Amino acid sequence: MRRGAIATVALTWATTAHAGSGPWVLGQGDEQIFVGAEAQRFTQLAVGDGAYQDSVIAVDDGVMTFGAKLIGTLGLARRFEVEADLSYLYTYANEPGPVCELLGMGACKTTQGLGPISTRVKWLVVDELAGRPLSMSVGLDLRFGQTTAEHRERVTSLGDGTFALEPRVALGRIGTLPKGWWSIYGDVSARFPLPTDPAFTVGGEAAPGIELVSTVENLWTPVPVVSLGPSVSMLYRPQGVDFLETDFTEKDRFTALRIFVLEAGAKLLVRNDTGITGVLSVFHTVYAVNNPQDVLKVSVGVAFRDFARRRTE
Amino acid sequence: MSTLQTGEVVGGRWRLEALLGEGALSQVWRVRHEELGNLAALKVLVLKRPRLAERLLLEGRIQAQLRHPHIVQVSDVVRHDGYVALVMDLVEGAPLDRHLATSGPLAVDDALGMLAAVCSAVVAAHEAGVLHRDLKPSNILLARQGAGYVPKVADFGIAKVVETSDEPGRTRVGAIMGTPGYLAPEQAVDASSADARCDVFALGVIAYELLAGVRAFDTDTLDVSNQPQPPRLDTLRGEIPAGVAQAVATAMAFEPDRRHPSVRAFAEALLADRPELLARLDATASGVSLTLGTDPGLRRTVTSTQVDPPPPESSSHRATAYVLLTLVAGGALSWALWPTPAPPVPAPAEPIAAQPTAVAAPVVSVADVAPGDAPPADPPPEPVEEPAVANAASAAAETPAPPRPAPPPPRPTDPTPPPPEPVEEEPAPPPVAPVQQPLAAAVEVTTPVAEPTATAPPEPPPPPPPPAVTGTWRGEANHLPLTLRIHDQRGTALRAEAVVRTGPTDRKYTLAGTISADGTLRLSEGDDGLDFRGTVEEGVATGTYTAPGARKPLPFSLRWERD
Ligand SMILES: Nc1ncnc2c1ncn2[C@@H]1O[C@H](COP(=O)(O)OP(=O)(O)O)[C@@H](O)[C@H]1O
Ligand SMILES: [Mg+2]
Repeated sequence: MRRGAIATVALTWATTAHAGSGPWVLGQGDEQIFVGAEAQRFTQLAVGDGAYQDSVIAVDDGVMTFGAKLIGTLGLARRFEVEADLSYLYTYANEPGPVCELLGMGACKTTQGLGPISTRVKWLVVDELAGRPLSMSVGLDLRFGQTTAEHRERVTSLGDGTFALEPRVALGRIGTLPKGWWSIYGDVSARFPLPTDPAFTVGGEAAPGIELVSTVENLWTPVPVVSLGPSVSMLYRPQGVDFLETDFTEKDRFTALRIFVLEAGAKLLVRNDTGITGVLSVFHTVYAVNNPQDVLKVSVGVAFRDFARRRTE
Repeated sequence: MSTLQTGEVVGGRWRLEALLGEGALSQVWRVRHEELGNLAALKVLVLKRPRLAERLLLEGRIQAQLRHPHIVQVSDVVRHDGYVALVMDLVEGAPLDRHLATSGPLAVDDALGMLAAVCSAVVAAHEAGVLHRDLKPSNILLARQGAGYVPKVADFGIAKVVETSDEPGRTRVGAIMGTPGYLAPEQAVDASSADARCDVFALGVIAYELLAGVRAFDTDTLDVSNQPQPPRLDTLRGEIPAGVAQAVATAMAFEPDRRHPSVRAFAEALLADRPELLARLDATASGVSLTLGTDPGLRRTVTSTQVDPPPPESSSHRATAYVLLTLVAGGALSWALWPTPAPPVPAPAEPIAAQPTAVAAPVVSVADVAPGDAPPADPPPEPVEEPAVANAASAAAETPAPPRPAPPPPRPTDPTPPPPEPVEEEPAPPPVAPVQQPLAAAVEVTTPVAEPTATAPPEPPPPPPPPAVTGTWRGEANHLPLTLRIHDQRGTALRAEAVVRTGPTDRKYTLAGTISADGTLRLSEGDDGLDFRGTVEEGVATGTYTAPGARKPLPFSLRWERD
């Protein structure tokens, strides 16, 4: 039985964002703009058959995504930050073959457009600078995924099409090194999708279900110019059906999946004295359920600190 | 600091028994001497600073001469794990701020009696060349004595030692880490300008608080001069004489020139109608005991033979203990001092060690030996029992007991030992240093000792130019990486940007502040933002900062990277 392939691939995009990482916030009135480009590729889907037996489907010659990303961050008040995140994505199948054919509904058609637009607020509740052993923030993301709703039935979808509320807690700690510093943080958020379209159901069940997202990242900065370190991200949607159980005639056939994705990678940051930071990150899937299991994702970007402020000075 | 634990032994001999309190920069413990068993208070300064110990020792030498019934005596300086700690009299009783929190305003007589005692302590210190610089209710400890209390002023000159950073041999211009609401405005703006009138201001504020029951300036900002002056005391309480209200208002004037020129002048104005209290100003041997309460029948009583609650140890045991302590303290002091490269002062062992000897007399009254009581060098005005001088003298030959005939009572600094043989050509430290503001000057003055006077200290010499500090400073704020870019310096005025690393990004703060000639650094964000205070010494800046939400000042240290 070869019915084909899918991915809620775009779901893992947010985890490679440079800005917004960790519990920390910018200073009051500080801003940062991040401009980045991302590329990813996968060929294999790990699919469940409803009996916790996973098999792998090769999506013909693989699916490619290229994207551009813009993130603006602003320290609104002391310990209070707002951030907006915009991406434009372009996704296509290398050589659509029989699997794409089987999936039907134009599963492998080239798709482009805005990815989910995120805005978030973050409040640093516990501050190491004030003598606490850890920093902790709470935040809320508003994820506007409606722009991706139209093509959510595709393997080349840009998102799951929902509007979601995503509260988040992040914990972190910073320390000094002889000439630099280190940092580690972990965050957990829960995405509550609010269906925007009555068709967001599969067999009467609302889709998609609640998602848990978590990231742990550790950066080492032996000298102020370079930071390097590992990062691990997880996406877990416990409710839903297995790939081989879903109703392939439904527009929400993929949104209805229960999924788990664990990816690991590394980040490299290079910064200069004038507030410009270059970021390179590479991630690969470690484990996946009902999702691509061999996603290789590379992103590069540049962050500019206090760009607007400097121009007006 | 959090590493100090009950039961731990500090300085090789003081076992921590209980944490008595915590200040912004210190912890105060009740300690017991390992061998001798006597109790003392140990004040551990939170700041780890190069040379802080040496400076404290210099300071301690002068302070050790401040023997006065209303001054908490410092008897030793010890080091522990890079921290410096002062051993001082243990005062059994609450600090005045805690008392005021529950008592409300004091009866006028009680307040004036208390102020007379406190002023007598400050006058004596000023006459010995020591400014307090951080007078506030929490530094006035109320020693329980019989049914009453004896006020004792703590922390003389410590604020300056903590704040000043100087090279030995250079005149120090004092600086202070003050307490909002009690700090004179000129001290807040330029700490190096502190003189006797700063203490006058603080005493005025304390007097106001005692009589009004509320703080004169209820503010968190150091500089009170943009606050309104509080309403005059006689408009608040009819029974306060106009003269008292006027004296307090004058003492609290924002301009130093409009205040009383000295604490003595303030006390004279305050107590003009109370000759019996005024007489106490110099009656250093009096055991003034104040009864603080609402019952007028329990009003102030002058007691010289008050009996304390029975001490835990027997007198004779304790007498021996004190003799030993004297020797140990002397040895300890020599030990503590020896790493100091050629201190510009004569041999160390006498002034601090001198303190307890008089108590060694076995016949001294219980009241006199009780720990934390009036220091022993002060015989009561009508001495009931006579310290056994022979004993004391044999205990520490270089330390004579206080003069025997009590009336008139000796000045606090009168019973000074003969000057020790000078180590270097410099003169011995004056038994009674002339009133002067920079303490190091006491050490460096090459002219003969002047007679003590009751007048205000002379104006400090014009400060030398401040060190140039522009450039990039890197280090830590608490445990966070901190970069400080001082990009503008005009004279003492600074402008800077602090960049605190917070994970992948950072937080920036725009700061303004001052650097004084002695390297005292103050940079703050304004309103209630980040606020750094410290000292700059040889390309290293250390001190503490406060951050919004911080429960107490936190350490920072920075190293200069010249641009
Ligand atoms: N010699 C002493 N004997 C007993 N208790 C003391 C002594 N010195 C200080 N204390 C207590 O320790 C507390 C902290 O003192 P300190 O560190 O000087 O801070 P602050 O004076 O700002 O309160 C005081 O408020 C007081 O309760
Ligand atoms: Mg104190």
